Amino acid sequence: MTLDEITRALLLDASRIATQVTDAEWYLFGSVLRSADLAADIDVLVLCNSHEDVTHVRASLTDRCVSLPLHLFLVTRQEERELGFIAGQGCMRIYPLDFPPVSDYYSG
Amino acid sequence: MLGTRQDIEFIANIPRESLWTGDAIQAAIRHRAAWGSFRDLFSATADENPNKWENREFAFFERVLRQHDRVTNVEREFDRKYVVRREALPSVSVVLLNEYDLTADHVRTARDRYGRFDIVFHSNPNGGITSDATDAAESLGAHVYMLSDLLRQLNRP
Repeated sequence: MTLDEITRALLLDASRIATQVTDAEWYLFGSVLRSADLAADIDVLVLCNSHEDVTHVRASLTDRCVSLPLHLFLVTRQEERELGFIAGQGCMRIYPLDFPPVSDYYSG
Repeated sequence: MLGTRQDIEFIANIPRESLWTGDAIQAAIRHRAAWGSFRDLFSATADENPNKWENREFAFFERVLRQHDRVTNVEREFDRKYVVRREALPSVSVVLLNEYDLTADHVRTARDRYGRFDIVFHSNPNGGITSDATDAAESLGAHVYMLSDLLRQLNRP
């Protein structure tokens, strides 16, 4: 699959899940950004408000994890403040695209 | 499958979020086939003898346990879950998680997949462990350790 095809597939999931989990942000990272055709895994980070939202996102992606080799990294905003993973790993946000930049989370 | 074919050198469980049971692993080993994930298959095919390929993370962990004075036996329940028998101490169940950064979701997903465990061994030495991951483990009656702390803990009740 191309990066565009992967992104479009994940956008369907992100839109579907957004009706239940508000304010989640979806990112791609890792080898899929460098060479989608050759990547063994598709690394996906979903940033959520709470652990309840994380649980819902994981359950909602069960079927997609069978059809695509997704490696899920589901993290709360509190955990992301500790890790700084998104900025540190050069994650690319795919959903939503009209949202304040992630750097806002590190300020408070 | 293994009962009818003698020429299988590697068995891959394709879905990224799938798991291997201990019995399935033992069946593969009895038939002299390597086993693992789709990613592991990539590594094995680059090996001169794919059927002898071993996941380096698991091989390292098993070697560490073999060399630990307190450990008397190791049983594998799943690909990432071991039950470690200890001399004069109760057995402990250990789940290996190799995520770069360990989150509460990783810990709770491990519980869903592997059942109860006493210890999470964070086998990736480069990443971090979030406070919520530590809290999640404790709420499940477990603790998260890096290697040096795990080795010390194996000497304790």
